[in-house]
Amino acid sequence: MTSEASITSLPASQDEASLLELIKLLETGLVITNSHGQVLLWNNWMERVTGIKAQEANNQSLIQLFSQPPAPALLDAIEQACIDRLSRRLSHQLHPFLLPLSQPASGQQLHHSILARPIKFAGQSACLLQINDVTSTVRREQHLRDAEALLRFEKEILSLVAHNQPIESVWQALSTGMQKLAPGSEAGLLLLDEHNQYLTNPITTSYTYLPSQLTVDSQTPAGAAARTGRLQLAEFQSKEQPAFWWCHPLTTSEERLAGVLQLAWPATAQEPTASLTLLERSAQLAAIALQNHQQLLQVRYLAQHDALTGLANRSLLNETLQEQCAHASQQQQSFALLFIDLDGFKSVNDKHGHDAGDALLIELSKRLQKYLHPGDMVARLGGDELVVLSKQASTQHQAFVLAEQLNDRLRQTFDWKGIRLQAGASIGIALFPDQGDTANKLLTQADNAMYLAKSRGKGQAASCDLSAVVYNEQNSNSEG
Amino acid sequence: MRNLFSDDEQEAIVELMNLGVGRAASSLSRLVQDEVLLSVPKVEFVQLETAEETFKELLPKALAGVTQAFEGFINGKAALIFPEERSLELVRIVVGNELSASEISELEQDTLAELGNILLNSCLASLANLLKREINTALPEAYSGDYQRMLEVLCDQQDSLIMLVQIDFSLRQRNLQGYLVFIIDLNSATGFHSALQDYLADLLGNDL
Repeated sequence: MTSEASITSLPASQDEASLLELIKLLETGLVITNSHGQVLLWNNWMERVTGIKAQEANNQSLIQLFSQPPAPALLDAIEQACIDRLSRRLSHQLHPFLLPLSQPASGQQLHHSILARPIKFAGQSACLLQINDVTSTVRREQHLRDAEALLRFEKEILSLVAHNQPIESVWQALSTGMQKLAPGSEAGLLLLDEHNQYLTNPITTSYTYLPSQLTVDSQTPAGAAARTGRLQLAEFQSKEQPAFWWCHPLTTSEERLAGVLQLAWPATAQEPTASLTLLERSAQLAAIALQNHQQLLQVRYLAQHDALTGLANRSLLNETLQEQCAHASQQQQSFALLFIDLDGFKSVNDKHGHDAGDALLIELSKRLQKYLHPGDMVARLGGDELVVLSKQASTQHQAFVLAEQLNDRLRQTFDWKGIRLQAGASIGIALFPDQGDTANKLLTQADNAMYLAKSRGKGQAASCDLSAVVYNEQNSNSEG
Repeated sequence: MRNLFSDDEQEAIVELMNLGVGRAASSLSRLVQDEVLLSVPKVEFVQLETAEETFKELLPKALAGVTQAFEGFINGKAALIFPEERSLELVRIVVGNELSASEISELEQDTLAELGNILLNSCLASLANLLKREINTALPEAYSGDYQRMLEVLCDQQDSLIMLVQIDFSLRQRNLQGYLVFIIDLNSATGFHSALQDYLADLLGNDL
């Protein structure tokens, strides 16, 4: 039978002295107590980590020795070992504070686990406590946990970015994730506005320490981080109490300042672990999210705009027109859709080449955009077909006036590389809701009206509702 | 060997294990400051010759747990066994750890050893108390491996009696199944036998 469980009797007399010498050399804590927790043996290692000499410890109970009492589990284990003769293992995870021990060099807490074994000592039932330093293991595993938590956080943010989730939800996850990784702190970001004047929290967060908006030139760590582009570690007096406020600039991949990542915690609390790494990584994640967001906006822009003129394309026009129909119907408003087909554009292309035609299209697009109200829209459907959506023109009369004014501007000549280019326009008009209450109907009606106008001679505007042509000035040159 | 214990004695063993497990549950609950429920144990005696077959049949493939030697009115080794992945779960439920690594860490190993220690000490101590006998235990050791490795660890004697006790754990609405195994040295099995007889005699109020 194994003798592992048998009770060890320490040798007495002459051997005892040399054995005690050996115990002194051990790089681990050894304590022997009786069932009341009174110390019978206290080795050198224990002297070093408690600052209590063996002479002071001897015959004192563990409860009296320390200002903070030992964990009840340890006293239970001692009693169990002495009385029930059961061995006990007290792990660090279940009992983080068994004894108040500190590292001799740094004075920091010494993490330990304890093995309690029943023995016979000096003729009585006693308990042998072996105290193991697990500080480096605790630190290593803490690092592992921190690294894992950070990895999970990064994975979450990158996954949101990869799935093109709305940027607001990325900012929300970033703020929440940072706060979770730095418990007891407040964390989030401030984004720089386009005028480089304000730093604003893009999500709604109720902070105690952190501001939700401030100016770039404010005398705050966030302002300083934005101005200098450098990390700021500062202590400040908040509304409530002194706190630490750390700010890391958020710069895009093109080295442009886009905002500030911020972290704050009360001065009385301990600094959250790895807070600097957290800020740095969050800034990198935010930069990736921003870059992706901007690329997404760019792709969306390209998908909705005409490459040559920069005007909205058919897809964006349809989308906007549908929204406008819904809105106007709700508000019981009218608006006009003007279908423009350039007269004489084909001959410009034929005579002077496509470059000339392109240049003319760009010029005419600019003229239209410049003339129209900010809320109005001009789109290019392709070729020389343009569409204007005007919320300002809400009656037939206003629409015809607008058509006339637009035509006035379109038919002005344009000098391109020494060549004088010109094109007029035939304009078809459709009014919401009289000529159509859906995007498709309106477009078809405006298109039909344009053909009507063209059939009556170029440089005209027409509405399918009106038999009369409202204005009819002399034809612009050539064909249509 | 199967007939080493009479039906009455076997029933008494189940009853004793039940009391021991109940005590273990309350020690665990105190420790994790949460309710820990342990089911009524199922007790089975296994012969050494067929132990391998039985273990293979009953136990999961990859095992992890804690072994602890004991000595007193009976000698032997006790083990708390879990399917390997569940042992990690037990520790993480208790400690509330967020580590996602599939391997048990050093500190977690220590924690698992302590949890096993608490359970096994409780069972053995209450067994000894109820039988009015003495027993002492050695330090627990965490181990992992398959059922063969476990048998090697547990049975270093040819003449051993194996008592397999199955219990279910419930912690914070999560269920865990574990086994307690007691390998009792046959030489001391007679001691167990007489202790049981004394216990039954006391219960019945007359000498058998």
